[in-house]
Amino acid sequence: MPAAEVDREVRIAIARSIKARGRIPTIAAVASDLGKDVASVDASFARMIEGHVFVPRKDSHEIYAYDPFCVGPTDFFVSSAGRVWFGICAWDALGIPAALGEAGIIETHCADCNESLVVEVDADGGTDVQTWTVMQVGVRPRDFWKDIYFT
Amino acid sequence: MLLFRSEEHAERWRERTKPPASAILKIEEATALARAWYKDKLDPDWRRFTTEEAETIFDDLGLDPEFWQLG
Repeated sequence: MPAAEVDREVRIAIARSIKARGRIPTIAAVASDLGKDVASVDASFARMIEGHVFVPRKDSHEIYAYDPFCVGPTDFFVSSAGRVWFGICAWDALGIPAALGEAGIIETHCADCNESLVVEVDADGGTDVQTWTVMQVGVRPRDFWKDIYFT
Repeated sequence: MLLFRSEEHAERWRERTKPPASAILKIEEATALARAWYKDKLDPDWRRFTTEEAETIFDDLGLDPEFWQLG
């Protein structure tokens, strides 16, 4: 099977695991789900890392963040679709309800004063505009992948 | 990407930590950006945006092209 087709199957299996189980799968779990050998799924994960499809754990091909979903724990808790999720950053946390097509509640803290912050997002992406909450992007988008762990 | 209680808190943090760059989005702008970016991520036919597609998303949201341009 061509690599592009394998990668598509693997990507669909990852998405299915996230939606159905609320869990980012390991290489072994995807191999088991698809009835494939671990080496071929590992090679697919490596290609997806190269293509910036997800953020790997350091020194590994395993997923750290299949953005917007992170294995966590992080400072960004998201309640959506009856589960608790983790976002690697504010942008991703806000994107979790959107990826699930559901409403969600993002809980974190102000990076300046540490006071708790709660943002409610509806299923259509609307939010409580009465809040003064802002998001700061500290790296230019063209530089995001230069050091994704810093970003 | 971090959240702050207000723009004043974000500015205070920026002065203290001096990040390599800085753009501040209102929460409704950030939510719209996150939705545009991730709403299809779990779809079977998802693929990464091209540079042009990504820049169109930024443009459509009215984000500063000087900060958000990718090319």
